[in-house]
This record gives sequence, structure tokens and C-alpha cells, in this order.
Amino acid sequence: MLDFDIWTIVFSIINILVLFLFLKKFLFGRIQNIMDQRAAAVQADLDQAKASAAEAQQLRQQYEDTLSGAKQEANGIIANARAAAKEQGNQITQQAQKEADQLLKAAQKEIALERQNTLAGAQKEIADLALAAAAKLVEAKMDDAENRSIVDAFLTEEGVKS
Amino acid sequence: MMGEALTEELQNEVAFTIPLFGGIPVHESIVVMWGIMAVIMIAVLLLTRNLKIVPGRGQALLESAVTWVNNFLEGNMGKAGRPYFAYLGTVLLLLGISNLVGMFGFGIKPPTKDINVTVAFALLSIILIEVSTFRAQGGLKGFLSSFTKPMAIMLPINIMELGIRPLSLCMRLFGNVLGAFVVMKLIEHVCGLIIPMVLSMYFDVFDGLIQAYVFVFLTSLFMAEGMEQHEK
Repeated sequence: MLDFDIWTIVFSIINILVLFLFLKKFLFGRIQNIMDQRAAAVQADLDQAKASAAEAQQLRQQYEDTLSGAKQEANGIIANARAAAKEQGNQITQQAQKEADQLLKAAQKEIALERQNTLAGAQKEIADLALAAAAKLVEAKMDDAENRSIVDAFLTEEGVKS
Repeated sequence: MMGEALTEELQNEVAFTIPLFGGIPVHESIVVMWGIMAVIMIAVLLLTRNLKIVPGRGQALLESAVTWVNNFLEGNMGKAGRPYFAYLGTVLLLLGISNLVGMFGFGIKPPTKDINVTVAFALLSIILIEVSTFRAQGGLKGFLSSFTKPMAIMLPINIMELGIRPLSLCMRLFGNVLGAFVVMKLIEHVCGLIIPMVLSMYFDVFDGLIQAYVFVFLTSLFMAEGMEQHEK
């Protein structure tokens, strides 16, 4: 039972060492290797995911910037258009006002002229008429030219009064 | 009659003799170890033949077993013991299966029932303990001064431990396996089939695995003690 045998000890040691070398290479080595590979792969995936997220964030920022820029630009354009339209409207109104004023003035002038002409005509005719009437009344007692001026002066006086 | 049969069972028979140097006896225990090694090697080659990054079920089991061993040893020795994990894992596997192999019948006796086998395990353990201490303490000076730790008065005890540790390791293993073997043989002689099976679960499976575990646990613990960095 307790018979010591050096050969059994030697063989056992050899057996253990052989199995150790075998398992170190084919079990622990391989398993460690694959687990390291997996850790590396997972790490790579994580890194990639992080990079993707950062990229997406950057793109989002970029889009947001672009969007707000476009909004600002649109607002600018609208404001400009509004201002231009207002300006133009004012101009048109002003011009129309001016034209209307001019037209009114011209019309007034014309009316006044017409009135003056009419008055002058009427005056002349009345003078002629009066002269003729007077001539008829006075006959040749009156020098034509002198009397005319007298009547003219009279009529002018009368016209101014009327 | 039972005593005779038992005595016969307890013999470490010579399986065959190599006709060299006047005959080298190869004992039964060595032959059984070869068988166990062959099974382990074939199983390992089959299991690790096609390892993938995304593991299948077999690979996942294998990986969790290896991870369990690594975690167990790292818990005892810390990261510093990492170079010795493969050896201690090998010892754990070989001892575990060696202790269990008796229950398969076919007249196979556990190799660890042969004290020469446990002596071999214990010798390798004490060599590993001292080598790891030597390396971790940074050369001969550190190694020798580790015998005076934690205090100088421990020097004789630490020197005696060089012999006591492997002796206790090999005797504990041998005694437990032999005891379980004897008890199981006695029970098998006395009663039939069912009761030995139940008791075998304790004496062969539980005690066998516990002894393999204890052997590796103590070896790693002694290594951790030796590798411990003392303050200068």
C-alpha cells in the first residue's frame, strides 16, 4: 500500500508535465486567445459605435445650423421684400398724389383761363353792345375811340366790382 | 475472505514491464493516467477545434469552465499568479478526473490511490511554490529572506515547511482517496447496488472533487504567500 516506487513517481511527473504542456497550448492558450479576440472585437465595435454617434451628432449639428441659417435667410428675404414693397407702394402713392395735384392744378388753371376768356369775351361783347346801344342813343355825339375807352373803363370797373 | 479480496484490491499492481535497464515496472496507476490523459486530450482537441468569436453552446461551456478556474486562482493569488494558472488548472482537471475515475467500474482504480502519484503531484507543487517565490521575490536574496518572514523567529518553521507542505499535500490526497476507495469496496461487499451508488456520490464524487479542489487551493495559497511582496 505504501510501497514507494521511483518509476511511478517519475512517470507521474512526466505525465503531469506532458498534460500541462498540452493543455497550455490547446486548451488555455486557445481559449485565452479567442477571449482576447472577442474582447478586442467588442472593444472595436464599441469604439465604432461611439464614433458613429459622434458623427451623427456632428451631422445633426450641421443640419441644425443649416436649417437655422436658411430660416434666417428666408426671414431676411421676406423682410426685404416687405420693405421694398412698402417703398414701392409709397412711391406709387406719392407719384399718384403728385400727378393728381398737377392735374388738379392744370384743371384749375384752365378753368380760370377759360373763365377769364369768357369774361373778357363777354366784356367785349357787352361793351360792343353797350357801345352800339349808346351810339344808337347818342348818335354821332361821341367820338368812337374815346367813348369806347370810357365804356371800357366803366365796364372794367363794373367787372371788378361784380 | 473479504479481507483478502480487499488487500488484493489495495495492491498497486504492475501492469507491464518495459525491458530496459533491467526492467522498468509500469504500474496500473500510470496506465490509468495515460487513459485519462488520452481522453482529456481528445476531448480538448475536439472541443477547441473550431473556436469562434461568437461561441456555440459547447464553446460557451468550455469558456465558462476555464474562466471559472482562472477566477478561482486569481481570487487566491491575484494577477501575479497568472503565469501559473495553466499548470494549476491542469492539476485540477487531472486530479478531479483521477479521483472520479474509480466510480466507472471496469476494475479501474483511481491513480491517486497510489501514493507515488500523489507524491509526484506534491513534488511538482512544492517546486512550483518555491520557483514562484524565487521569481516574485526577485532572485536568491529575496528568496532566502522570505524564509525570515513575517519575522526572523519563523525561520526554522519556514524551513520545515519545505518538507511539511508537500508531505501534507500528498498524504491528504492519498489518504482521502484511499479511504473512500476502501469504504466503497467494503460497502459493495456488504450490500447490493443502490446503497453503494448513493454513498458513492459522497465518497467518490463529492470527496474526490473536494480533494482535487483542496490540493489546488492549498498550492495556490502557498504560492500567494510566497509571492507576497513584503515591505522593505
